[in-house]
Order: sequence, then C-alpha cells, then structure tokens
Amino acid sequence: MLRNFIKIAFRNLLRHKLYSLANIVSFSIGLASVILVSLYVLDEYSFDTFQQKYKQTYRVVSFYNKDSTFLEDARTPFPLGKNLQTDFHEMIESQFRLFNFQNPSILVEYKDKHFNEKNFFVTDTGIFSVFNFEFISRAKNYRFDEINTVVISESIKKKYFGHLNPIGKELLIDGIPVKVSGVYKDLPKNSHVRLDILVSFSTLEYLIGYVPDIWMWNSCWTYVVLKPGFTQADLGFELPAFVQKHYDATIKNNTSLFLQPLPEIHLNSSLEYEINPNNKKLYLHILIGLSGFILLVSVINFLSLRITDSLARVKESGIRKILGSNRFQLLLQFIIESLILSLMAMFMAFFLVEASLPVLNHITGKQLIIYEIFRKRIFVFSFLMVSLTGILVGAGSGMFASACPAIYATSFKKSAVHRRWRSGRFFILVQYTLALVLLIIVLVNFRQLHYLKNTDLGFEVRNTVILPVYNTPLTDKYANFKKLLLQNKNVEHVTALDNIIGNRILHKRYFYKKNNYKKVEFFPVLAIRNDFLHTFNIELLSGKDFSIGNELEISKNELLINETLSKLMGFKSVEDAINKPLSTFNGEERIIGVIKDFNIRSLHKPISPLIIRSVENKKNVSEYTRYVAIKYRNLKKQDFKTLYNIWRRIAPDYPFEFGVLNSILNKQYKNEDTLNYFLWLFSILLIVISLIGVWVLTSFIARQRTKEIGIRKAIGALEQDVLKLFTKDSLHIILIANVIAWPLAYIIINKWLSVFAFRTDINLWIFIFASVLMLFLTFSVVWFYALRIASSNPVDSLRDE
Amino acid sequence: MLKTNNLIKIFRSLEVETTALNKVNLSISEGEFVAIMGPSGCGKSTLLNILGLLDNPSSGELFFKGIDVSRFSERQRTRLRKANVGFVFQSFNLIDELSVYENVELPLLYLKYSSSERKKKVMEVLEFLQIAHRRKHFPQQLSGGQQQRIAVARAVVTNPRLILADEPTGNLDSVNGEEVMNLLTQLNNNGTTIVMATHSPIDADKAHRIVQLFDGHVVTENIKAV
Repeated sequence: MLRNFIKIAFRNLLRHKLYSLANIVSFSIGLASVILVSLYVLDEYSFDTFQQKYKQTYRVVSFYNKDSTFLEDARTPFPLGKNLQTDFHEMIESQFRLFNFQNPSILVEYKDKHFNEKNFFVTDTGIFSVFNFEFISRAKNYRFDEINTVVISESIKKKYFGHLNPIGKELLIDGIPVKVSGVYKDLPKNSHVRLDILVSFSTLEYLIGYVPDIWMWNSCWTYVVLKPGFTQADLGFELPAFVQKHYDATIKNNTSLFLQPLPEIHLNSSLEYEINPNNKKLYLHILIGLSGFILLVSVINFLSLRITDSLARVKESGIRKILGSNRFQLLLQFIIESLILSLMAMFMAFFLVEASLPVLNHITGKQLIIYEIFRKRIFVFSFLMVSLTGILVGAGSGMFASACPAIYATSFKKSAVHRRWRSGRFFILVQYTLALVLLIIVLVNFRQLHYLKNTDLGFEVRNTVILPVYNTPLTDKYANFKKLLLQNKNVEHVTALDNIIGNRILHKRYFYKKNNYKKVEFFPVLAIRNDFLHTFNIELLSGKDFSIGNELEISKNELLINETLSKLMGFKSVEDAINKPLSTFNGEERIIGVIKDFNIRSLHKPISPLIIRSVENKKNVSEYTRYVAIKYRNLKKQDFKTLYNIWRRIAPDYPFEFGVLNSILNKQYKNEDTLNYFLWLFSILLIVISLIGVWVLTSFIARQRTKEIGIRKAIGALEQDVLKLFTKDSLHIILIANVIAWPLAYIIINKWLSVFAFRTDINLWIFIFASVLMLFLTFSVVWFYALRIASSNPVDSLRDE
Repeated sequence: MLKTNNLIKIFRSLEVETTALNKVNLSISEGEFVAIMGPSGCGKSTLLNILGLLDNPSSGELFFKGIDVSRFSERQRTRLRKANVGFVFQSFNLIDELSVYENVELPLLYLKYSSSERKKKVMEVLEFLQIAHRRKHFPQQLSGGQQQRIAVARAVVTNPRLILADEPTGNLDSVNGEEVMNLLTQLNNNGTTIVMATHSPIDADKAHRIVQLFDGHVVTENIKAV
C-alpha cells in the first residue's frame, strides 16, 4: 500500500510539473536562506571559542567618565596586566598583553621583500596558554622571551621565505633585525585578533630601548586568564580598589575597569581602539529574524500551494472514497506527496547554498564551505524540520479533500471549493504583507547606507588620496615630498596628520576653566601639519589658521578647536573662544581659531569635541607625520602613477600603499554593507515567493471559474471585462496588505534607525514606491494569466465543463 | 436486496429548497436488473446515490440487505459500500494518474487483499472484459468505450452484490454503448443485481423492470415479460 502511495505521489508530481516546481522552488528558497544565514551566524558566534581556555579568558577594558568626556577604551596601561596578576595571584592563572606601537601596521623586510604587516604584536608568554599555537618548527632551546627573536605564522613564513627554513634567519622589523625562532600553523580566522608576527616584551626593550611603565597611557590590550573556580564577578569586584591603588590621583576617581569575556568581544564590543572592527549581535539577530521570516513565508506559500492542489483533487478523493478508501488513507497520500516535495526542496536548497557561497564569502570576507552543514549538525536539524514541515503541510492541506464526502465524486460543487479557498487567500495576504514590509525596510536601509557613505562629513572626501608614511623616510623628507607632489598641476593641497580624519583619533588630557571652575577632561586631538584646513576644505568660523604657506613660521602652543568644544567650554560665541587657554601637563596652549564641526569618526558616533594642534614646529614632528593627504582637483589614473614615481624616488625600499579617502571611510560600514546585501537578497526572495503564490492562486481561480468566464464571453464580455474580474480579486488583498504593512514597517524602521547617531529621514515616497512596485509585479503576473484566458475561445471553456 | 420506505431527499441552499425525491417506495430483489428512467432533473441520480450509499435521505428509510442504513454515518456507509457495491458512471471517473491495471486494482487495495490475490483478480476481470492487453496504458490513451469497460472492470473486481450504473452509455456511441450494456447483462445473468439510471429506452429494454420517475415520484413500474 505504501509503495503504491509513493508511486502515485511521484506520478502526481510529474503530471503537474509546473506546480511541483513552484512548490519546490519556493520552499527551497526559504530553506537556503536559513542555511546560509546559519552558516554565517554560527561562524560569527564561534569567534574566540577555539582557544583552549576561552571560557576563563577576559579582556580588561577601561572607562573614563568625567563631565562631558566618556571614553570607553579597549586598551589599558602597560603595567596593568602584571600588577593584576601580582595583586590577585590566587585568582589569575596568567595574563598577556598585545601591543602594536599604536600603528595599524609595521614595516617588515627580508632581502628584497618588504611589506607593511598589520598583525604584528608585542606580547607575553601567557598568550601561549590561551591560543592553541601549533609549532611547525622551532629553534633549539627555543624560548619566546629570548631577546631579539620573533615567531611567525606559516603564512608569513611562506610570504617571506617561501620553502626555505626560516629558523635562525633575520627579519627586519621597523629596520631592526630579529631572528626567527619559531613558525606556527596559521591560527583559525574566527578570532577578534589575527596573530601573524609575535615578539616578546624583552625584544621590545631591545627594539626601542625601554619598556614603558606608565599608568597614564592606555597603550595595549590586556587579557587575564582566571583559575578554575573563579568567576568574572570575583575579579570584577576587586577592580575598583585596584584602580584606586595603582592609577594616578588625577584620574583614578573617574576610571573604571571591566572584564570582557573573550568570546563576547567580537559581537558585543565596539569600544574605542578595538584591534579590528567588530560585528554587532544586533545585526546577527536581524539576519536570523530575516531568514526565519523568509522561511515562514515560504512554508506558508508551500502550504497554500498544497491546499490549492488538494482542492483541485476533491473529485478524485470522492472517487477513492467510493472505491473504499478511508480518510486516513487519503490523508496519507497527501502527506507522502508533501514529504517528497519538501525533501526535494531541501536538496535543491543545498544546491542553492553551494551556488551562493562564493558570493557570500566575497561580501563577508569569510571562507564558509557547505560541508559545515554536516559538521555543525545543520543537516540533521534541516532534515528533521523539513520532514516535519512536509508531514504537517500534507496533513493540513489534505484535511479538506479527505473530509469531502464520496458524493463529491459525482456531484462536485466547485462553488463549495471556491468558498473554502477564501481562507487560502489569507495566506496570500500574509505573504504579500510581509514582502511589502521587507521591501520598505530594504529601501530605507539602502537610503541609510547611502546616507552614511555620502553625507557631508564636514570635510572634503572626494579626490583625496591618503598615503601611510610612518616608519618610512617620508616622515623626515616630508617637505621635499610635498614640494614634488605640488609640481603636479592636478594637486591642489598637501598636508600630513597623525590619524586618518573621519576614522580614528587619539585622546589627550586638557585643563581649562569654565565658570571659574578648573576642569580636566580627555579630548580627541588631531595632530596636523600645514595646509590642513585647505586640504580638507574645513570652514574656519573665527580666528585664524596655523601658519599658512611659510613652514618656517612658528605656531607654538596654538590650537584650533571645533564648535562643539567651544560650546562645551562655555563660550557664548565662537569669537569669545579666541585667545583663551587650554592646558596640558606640558604647559598652556591658546585657542587661535574655531572651526566648523565635522565628523572625526564614523557616523555610528555623534560629533564630539575636537582639538587640532599643529606639529609643524615640533622636534618630534616625524612621529606625528603618519599619513600624507593629497587633495587633487580631479583624481585620475595617471595621478597614481605619478605618485608612485615620486614615492620611488624618496622611499624606494618601502612598500607603496595608498587609499582613496572615500573608500577608506566607507570600509567602516562593512557590517552595514553585509546587512544591506542580505536585506536586498531576502527582499527579492520574498517577492519571488509571493509572486509564485499569486500565480498559483490566479491559476486556481481561473480553473474554478472557467465555465463562468466562457459564459461571460459568450454573452459579450470583452478581454478587459475578464481582466477586471481578476483585478477585483487581487485588489482587495493588496489594499488590506498595504493598510497593515505601512504602519508595521514604520515601527520597525524607526526602531532600526534609532541605533545610528546620524540617520536619514523616513520619506513617504519610499512607502509609495514599494507599494507601487509590488502592485506592478503582482498585476503583471495576474494579468499575464488573465489575458491568456481572456483571449481563449469561449467554446473551449464551456466544453471543458 | 434494497427497499425504500417513503424516501424523501431535499436539497437546501440559502434561499431555495428542492425536493429531489418525494416519498419514493421501491423494492429491488437480489439478481434483478432495474432501470430507472425519467426526464432530466427527475431525481434519477439522487435516487441512485442513496441506493448506492453515497448519500443519506432527508427522511424515510432505506434497507440494504434487511439493515436500515438510512441514518448511517459516512464511515459506516463506506464500510458497507466497500465490498458490496460497484459503480459505473457516465463520465467513467477513472483516475488519470493510474494505469488500467492500477485503476482496476484500487478497490482491492482498500480491501487489503494481498499482492498475489489482487493480481489474480485483476487479470481475471481484465481478461473477461478482453482488455488485459491494455493494462499498462493510462486512461487518456484509451477510447471512451475502452474507458467505460475499465470502469466496469473496476466495479466488478470485488464481486459486489450490487452494481449501480448512472447513464453508463451516456458518453458513448451506439456500438460502444451496446458493448457496455451487453457486459452489464452478462453480469446480471451471473447473479449480480443491477440498478441503472438511463435516458435511453434501448438500454432500459435490457432490464427486467423499468421504474419511471417524474419530479421525484415513482410514476410507473413496468415489469418486462421475460
């Protein structure tokens, strides 16, 4: 009997190929979405869980809160780690720090190979008890903290040494030779930090002559490993007293330390000075929600398609009942067919996932592979869920047909079926509404992303090239370099700064008086060289710029501040701020001008106070000359070649790297880009699923009304009259969907945009556009089908009956 | 075999009430061949559906082999119908997804016959109807006459006591119609009770008795001279 059911099921499915395909495609889309998102999300959640002691490992972070300064810093002072271990040795098993000179990269050389390496760190031996380093080769009597040595990853070894054994060979790090003492296998990529080149703090002393030991400078990332039996709360409870004991008196009352569990850094941390940009749990939740959304809609579509099919087979069910079938046997037939379809959909979903993974990997920068489905038990879960869905959908859809009395075989009332199918329109309504809501959200999100990337930041981003020059001869030969650059007629201005404007910035402590009270705060400070304001087209509201043109002029102890800082300091107007003091430990400095506010960091954060200081006259000006910014009139391909040639003249042995400012700043929105990609993808998929549902409903109604349409045509109805019949049916659903979708979408969008410090506005036209687009797509499907019927011979319709 | 007492069947919609059968009293003996005739809308099909346990009367009684089945549920009627009643319809009502063999086999599947028993019975009846050579074909590949022979095969494969035929030659030409009528006659000669609704006096002539219906009433019953 069961074999018979399976045989009949396959025949039924093959007989109605198009409907079967519609079933399989719409369900497989939902499944593929969930699988893809699962792979991505599971990978994200797996960050920092491969380390052997990840459950006991915490990063120490510091918060500074005073008056209007609230600085959340992922870094802590140098001495913190060792002192924590000393003071709490009963709780702390080990500690380690990561220090990278606060440079995003360092120059590494071997013979004729030289690159700026991003994943270089000075660290402690404690790191080896946390990260699972698997050494491929090591020097005899290897010790990590041996002076003048370095350990490297396998990738770095291949990059510089090829197939040669690097042990004992010398790498130049920032021009200083260190011996390779070990090579380890590349660590898994799912970590908040990539570790490619590691030296010990004893080698740091060898490199720079000393190891900083000050509490005033948050310089490195500190991690502690707790002993078994101790919790985050245990150590956390002791930290306030620790701060009081060790921190400087001027800041200890405003500084707090916190512990971040290692696995939570990647998804839960967006502090200042993160090692690498992290993701947000919120985005993952959105993706999970979206994929669930798609799956729900595809299951609803699957169910409504199956119901349509069962309703079309009421007569067959009646015949089977006449011949002796009971209700359960009829139901079983529908269940088997749905189960077969859902399993086919699952396999199709795997193909879709395999086809989509290269694109997903390209967008996300990951290397997800389909076999993870089996390793991470996604396959088992999918199989069970799909089977259960097939059974439930089969049972649900077969309910009506199996309950029909046998008499329907002979006196089959299509009107009864037609009336029943009104409940099926509810499914179409749900799908349509959800598709419309998502489309509106996608359009708003696209606008928000466009806004983030294109909004006026308050400074010029177009036609501006940024060259990282730290650790190159250009820091000393800057003046000459600038002169050569300006020989290009296409170059308008050139300046240099210590950080990339709009991206990252350092903080420094300043004293000032407000209402006769002395205030001490950390302010963001940008160190610049001449022509900064001109290069970035920043408006000066009052006062004057630093020395312009003549680089020999002294702009000693002079500062520019922005509007926000001017207001914070209590000045009633920007003119009042001129010549007022702002002091550091090194002495008093004076405000010479107030500039218009601009975004010194990404638009995730609001505009903050800003101090700009010129280092043009300083002895250590080279230290602050880290990036050269070149403003072109109209940047062309040829300009890069010219730039390269100039670079080769001055720094031939150094890797030439550059970035266009616009692209550099847009990289801050990588997570938003990924989310945007998923939103667009899901929106299209949802619309496809909805249109499949609309198509099937239309064809079902057409079949039910074949005779009616034939009669109408026979008595004079034209094609447009037939179209009106179909339009009326669909219009009700569309109108109700819009009434529900608009407010629902508005609520969701509002909540989503509140996450951003800067946000686009929600325009009515987005709602209208989305509704019109859905209307157009839906009616394209409906009218295409309706026109076919409308233009057929009425006799054919009547004869069919 | 079948007996009705004051059988009434009323169809109700929102605004209209139609009395399809009005106090029908009818008795059909085992082995009889009864033709029910009347104009369209007189209640022939309705009567056939009730006699065949496809539907319940609105009031009155129906006795099937002495048992009052008038208030039976759908499940009870299905159980009783399974092995006792075979149907032949005007529009054949074969299942398009099943082959000839599978269509004929279907009632035996529902009666849980074993595979070998099913094969034996199906082949027997297909050979009897001289259509065994088409057993692997599908209904769409057969002519109307052949399809109706398959429908007859399906109706008789379980050796039912009663066959109900609703306009069995209605969609056939005279040659094929004659063939089907000969089949039914042959079955009746072998002892099967047949109740047939028909417009055709030629077909009705094959029956032992003709019951005339008009507006839901039995108007006349003519027993033919044998």
